[in-house]
Amino acid sequence: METVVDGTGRAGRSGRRWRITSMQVLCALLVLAILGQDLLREAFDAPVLQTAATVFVAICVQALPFLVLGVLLSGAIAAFVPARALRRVLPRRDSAAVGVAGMSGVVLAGCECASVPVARRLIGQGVAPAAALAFLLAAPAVNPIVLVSTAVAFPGEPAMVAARFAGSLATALIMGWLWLRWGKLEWIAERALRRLPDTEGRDRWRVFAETARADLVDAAGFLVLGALVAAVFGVVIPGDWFSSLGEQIVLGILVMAVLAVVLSLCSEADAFVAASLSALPLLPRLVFLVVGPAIDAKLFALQAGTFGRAFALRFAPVTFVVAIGCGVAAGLLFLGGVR
Amino acid sequence: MKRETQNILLLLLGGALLKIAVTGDYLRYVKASHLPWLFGAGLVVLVLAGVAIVRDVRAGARAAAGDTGRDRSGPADACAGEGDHGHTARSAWLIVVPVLAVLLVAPPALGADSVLRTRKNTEPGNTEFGPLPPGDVVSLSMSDFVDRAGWDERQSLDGRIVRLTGFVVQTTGGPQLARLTISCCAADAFAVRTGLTGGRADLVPSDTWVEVTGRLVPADDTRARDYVPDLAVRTLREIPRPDEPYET
Repeated sequence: METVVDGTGRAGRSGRRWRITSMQVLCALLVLAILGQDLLREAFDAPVLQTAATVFVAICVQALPFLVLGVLLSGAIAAFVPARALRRVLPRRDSAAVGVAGMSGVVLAGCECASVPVARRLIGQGVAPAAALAFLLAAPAVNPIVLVSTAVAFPGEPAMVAARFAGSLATALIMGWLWLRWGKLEWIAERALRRLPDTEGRDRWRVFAETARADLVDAAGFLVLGALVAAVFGVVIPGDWFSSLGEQIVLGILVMAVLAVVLSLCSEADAFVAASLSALPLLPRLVFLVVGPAIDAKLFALQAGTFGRAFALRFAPVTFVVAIGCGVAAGLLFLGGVR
Repeated sequence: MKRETQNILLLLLGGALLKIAVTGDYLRYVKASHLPWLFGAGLVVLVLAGVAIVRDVRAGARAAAGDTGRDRSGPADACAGEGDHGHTARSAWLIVVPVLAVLLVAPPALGADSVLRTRKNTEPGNTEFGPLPPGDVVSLSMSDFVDRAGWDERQSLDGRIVRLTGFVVQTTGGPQLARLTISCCAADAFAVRTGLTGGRADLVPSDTWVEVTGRLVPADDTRARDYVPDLAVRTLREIPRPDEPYET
């Protein structure tokens, strides 16, 4: 993002040296798109493209409100929660702070998209990155809405709810502690670490609106990218992947984990999808539920955009492995085996 | 990307969300209970962009008036904490994609293509079914019908005439009536379907919405995985696409 220092200065510069501005590009793009509307519609006439387009728009439409909620929270934290208040709430020792942050994920009742801007703002306000990351992983998976929808989706299996809660929370805490031990601050993009100065009075509202706006611009593009990837995979992956896995348990677990990543389902809905895969034993379906909210295509895109590519490329694969491990462990513990 | 362009993109995005919320097109993508979220998000996005634009215009006017004593509320220091991160700015261009998709292409609700590529009927979570209401013809949701056909031990469908609403899918195994079920958005849709026998169902093109009455064809081994029941068609009537294309 470029910073507009003042409008007249820019106008004066571009007057001297003509150059295409992003506004002109946007206008040209919109005019072209409107003129070519019929061509565009024809191009999307093929059934498979229509299906992909619908899934793409559906993911965007479904996730955007949660992203908006996330950036509002992020703005509110930046404007109204001074860094020292956060420090008072969290334990001094980082390893304990990870635990508190993970548990506090219970209160943010939203999808995973909401938690990324919030976690970034927590880091910006001086919360230990390990604790913020534990929150990032825990919030979408252990909040009451997700747990209730899991209970509704698996009416005969209350152990699924407990197993999902334990598996997801364990993933978040272990990732937080791993970050404490091995994580390096320089992996996180510098912009995500930058701290906003504490503000007071009317300025707070300005900071609130401006932070929320900037976070939204930053994150929305990456959400779109993730939705594109998920939509493509949604039509490319053959449906019988789901049903032909019944007996091979290890393969089943791996395929379900990969599916959780590429399908990028909302954490409030994935339980219903898992429940519908009744050909599979419970354990792979639990892994699907633990992996999905921790890492998926749209989350990876959001993380790369928010914390930087260097961070996402390290964090996401480890999260994937840890989530599978925690899902399997929770399954063995709570479900008493593969089932 | 310039700040002004970002704000215009946000206005378009908020506008697109409000548009599908107002016109009801959102039902093609998410379930009905999502509506307040869409209104809220659309309004918030519009307000965030609007506030930024108004503030920039005012700051620009002040600067043009030669007001050197500009207070701290200018946009310059407002986004100072968000300084130059080139690649993120480029990513914001992607916001155009869903905006254009919604405003210009308006992808239709999922249909026959999606049915053919998703999994088949699956075992319901709850296999305790109440009795069907009395009457000559019973209106049932597709998922209720398919669940009862496959899993009801009391066989409540035996001898009853049911009325189903769905769209036709022509498969290699003959015509089927299908409906997609979503629990959150169209990305998690799965199909429930029943075969159609008789009633000239094989002449109806795919993706035609119909209201069908008929009887369940009794079958053995309904518990087989991916069991698709058959309906002996009595009447078949074309109907316009319903406002809510999905069952939830």
